[in-house]
Amino acid sequence: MFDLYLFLILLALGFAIGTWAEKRHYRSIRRREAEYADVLLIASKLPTPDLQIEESHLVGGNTVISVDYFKRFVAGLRNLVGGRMTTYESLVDRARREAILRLKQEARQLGADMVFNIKLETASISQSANNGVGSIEVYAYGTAVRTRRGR
Amino acid sequence: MDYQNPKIPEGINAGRENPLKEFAILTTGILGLLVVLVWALGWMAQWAAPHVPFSYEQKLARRFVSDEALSPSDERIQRWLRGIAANLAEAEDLPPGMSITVHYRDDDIVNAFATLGGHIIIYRGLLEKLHSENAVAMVLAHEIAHVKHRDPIIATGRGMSILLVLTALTGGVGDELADRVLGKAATITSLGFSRDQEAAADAEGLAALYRRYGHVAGATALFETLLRSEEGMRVPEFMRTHPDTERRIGAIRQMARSRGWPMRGALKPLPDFLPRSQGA
Repeated sequence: MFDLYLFLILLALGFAIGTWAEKRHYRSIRRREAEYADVLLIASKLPTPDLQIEESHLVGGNTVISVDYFKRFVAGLRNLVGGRMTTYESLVDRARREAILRLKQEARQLGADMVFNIKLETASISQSANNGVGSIEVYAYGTAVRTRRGR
Repeated sequence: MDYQNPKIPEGINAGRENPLKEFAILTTGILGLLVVLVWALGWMAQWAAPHVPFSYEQKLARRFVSDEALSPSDERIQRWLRGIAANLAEAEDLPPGMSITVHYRDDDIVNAFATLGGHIIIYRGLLEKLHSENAVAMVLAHEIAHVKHRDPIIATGRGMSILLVLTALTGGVGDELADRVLGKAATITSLGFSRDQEAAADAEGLAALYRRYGHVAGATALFETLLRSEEGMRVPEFMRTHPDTERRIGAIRQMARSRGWPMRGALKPLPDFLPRSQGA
């Protein structure tokens, strides 16, 4: 009986705190995305020749986000029947956007106004430990450039 | 060349659906499926179990039921119980090859149960609550009926197959605590006999009691004692495997009436080497 209560408490806590933290994170992400909107991200490898580049740097942004108990349980049930893991999708979305924001922050600190050759790497942490809480890492990196266009 | 980053609309990569909705759909769906599966497996076990030879059941039982070393006085009680059981087994007309072995256990637990291989365990705690040989005989006749109906092997088969499915399933959830909770739910649902099995054992036991003693006096003695000790701690009926005690008494009385078995008769006193409860 104790196990059942512990399980239900963990589930409720995971849901309440997880939802609250996720909403808060999304608010922060949206605010900062507007704030850093003028740091342009370009996927192409090389800038076009008409851009006069004064300086270039390698920049990166890294983030690790953990799964909460509720998400993990729902995903576990989803594992049995298959389909979209919607509870994990928001997690990956947050991690990607947060990593890009940190990359933009670094670029701005270096005085850059554009980042070329944006790449994303992702890894899951503590996946092997069966009873450990899973978390995902997203690393965004690219070449930050300062152009004449910026002034 | 003009570069720009448009604002990406929300809700494409990550759905805006409430996660509770998915949780509700998944849990009800999977639990529903589980209930159907468990029910189907239970039904299959019920169908297959009686085809297991009794000799195999006895071999299985050897692993966990054994004769415990008893004191000479307990040995005497056990011999007495086995004597009653032998007479009742004859009255219940057990199929060939089936045998009953009663084990007496010196413990306060108020319980008696039948398990695999025709073994019946009866505790001192229960014996102390019974005040005539007829009442003891009714308990034994009920347990012998369980053996005759192959209830222990049915329960075991049901429990094993349910456990097997749940183990296979919960491996997928991959959470230790969730697995433990599900596993426990499985043991709770698979333990014990169903209420129908209990009612059938009551009927069979009552008939044996009548054949052996010529009347069914003392048949409801145990339930009446239980009823008195139950007062103050009412457990909802669905929580128990045994049908509501009052209803069992009623069913036994009605059966005796409709068959014309006398409810009154001379009760055989208990031999004086039996344990007496304090204050009795």
